[in-house]
Amino acid sequence: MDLILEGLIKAFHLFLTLDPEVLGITWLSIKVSGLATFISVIIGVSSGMIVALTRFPGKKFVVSVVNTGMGLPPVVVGLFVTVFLWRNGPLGFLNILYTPTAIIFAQAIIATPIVMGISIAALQNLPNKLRLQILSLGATRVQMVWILIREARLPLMAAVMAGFGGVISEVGASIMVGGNIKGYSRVLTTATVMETGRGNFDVAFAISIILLLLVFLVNYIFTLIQQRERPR
Amino acid sequence: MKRLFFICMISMLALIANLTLAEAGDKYLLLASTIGPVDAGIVPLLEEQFESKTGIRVRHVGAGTGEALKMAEQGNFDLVLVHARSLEEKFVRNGFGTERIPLMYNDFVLVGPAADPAGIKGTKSAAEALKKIAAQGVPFISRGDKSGTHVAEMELWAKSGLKPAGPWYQVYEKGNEGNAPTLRYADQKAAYTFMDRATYLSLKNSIKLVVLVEKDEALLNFISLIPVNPKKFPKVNSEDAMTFVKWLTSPTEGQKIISNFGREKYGQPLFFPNSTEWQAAHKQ
Repeated sequence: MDLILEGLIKAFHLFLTLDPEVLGITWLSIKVSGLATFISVIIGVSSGMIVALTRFPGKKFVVSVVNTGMGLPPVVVGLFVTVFLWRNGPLGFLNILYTPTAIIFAQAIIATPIVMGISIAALQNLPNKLRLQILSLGATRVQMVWILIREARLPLMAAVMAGFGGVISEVGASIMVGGNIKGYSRVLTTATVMETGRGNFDVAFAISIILLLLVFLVNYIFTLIQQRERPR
Repeated sequence: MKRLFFICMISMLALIANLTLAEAGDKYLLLASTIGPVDAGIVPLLEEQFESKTGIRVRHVGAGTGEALKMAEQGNFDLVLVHARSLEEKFVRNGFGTERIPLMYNDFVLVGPAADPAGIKGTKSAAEALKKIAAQGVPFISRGDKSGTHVAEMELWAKSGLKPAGPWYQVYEKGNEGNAPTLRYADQKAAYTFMDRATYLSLKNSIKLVVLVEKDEALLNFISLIPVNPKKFPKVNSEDAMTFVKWLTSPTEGQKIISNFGREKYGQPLFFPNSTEWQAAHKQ
């Protein structure tokens, strides 16, 4: 219990003194996981929409693969991405291993199936005849897609939150492809693991508390957007 | 909603631009390093200083010595920083590395109660000291988890020709929590134990145990650099790796930073410079 209290005090101390290292780590976490979520939303929602709105053979198979992907262990993704990004690996020419870009890459892979899976469920949950109705009222295809997204906006925002929550809290891939390099590719979760390993439990708790607050803040903003009264 | 979406898009694009700009065209090299010096903070400090001097960013990954060498054997790194002589020699012999370059060492110490019931204080040989502890049957705590520290302790017992056993030799059941908890436990029991100097120094003020035996050759832990062989792996960034090696081994640059590291915080250094250049400069 003392440790948690010490951690709380330390967290306030680090934050109030605007400790540049902790601020840097926090900012990098926001940047990396924010971008990874952004990429996964672009890919996940659009491909989820195609899967949800079209009929094709093997659709159930595709959906089960995506649903399996929702539980992809970050270390497995980290391992694959590392091997791919190695200098002699298939993507070695990118030269991004042990950089923040590599973390974004891995986290986008982790978040995409989560966003896609929830998007598919969200869009399939819309009444079937809604599409016909929208089209019969003379909407173009683009307008129809936009209206469908707005109709499914509650679960779609949930998809974004789940994706972000999945990557900001993930540590296995970040440490493997980012290397936890001080002032360069260290994020909140990898810093927590390192400080715990070194026995600096107060700092580890402080960073964890900052991480929790950050996740809460981001989800609070998302929830505000999600729960907003629709303009009439 | 649309405006919010728009703002999100713009800020995300700005972030992407920011990140890619920061990396494109930068010089860098890849280092596979054993974890201890990374966690201790010496490797990040050296990298930081080197980058501010040369603009070359060192990207490292922390791994055990065996793992680091294995990854380098695939040609995925430019340089390794490791501590296991036999493995290092094999790595060079098989043509993966060019040569072993001494960088620095840190050391283990034997600590125990200030009253020293086994009378080991001042013993030159650590193995002799262990013999005395065993002969007197005074409590000794072992970490017992096959970690680097435990392996080094077992090697020392082997050197003394003894197999430690008996009620005086206790394996700390939570030893896998690390060196610091083990040292605290030994302190509570007023027992002897085998510890790395960095951990001892970081806890020095909150425990009563003192260093009794140190500086024996058998207690030293040598850390060396091995550049990955560019003849074997043409993609290796040998030029920047050698710039780094030269800077690290220079008595006025890397070695000087190593010799001062930890002085401020612990009153004495955690690592000792050991490059050939440093030795030459300090013999005269």
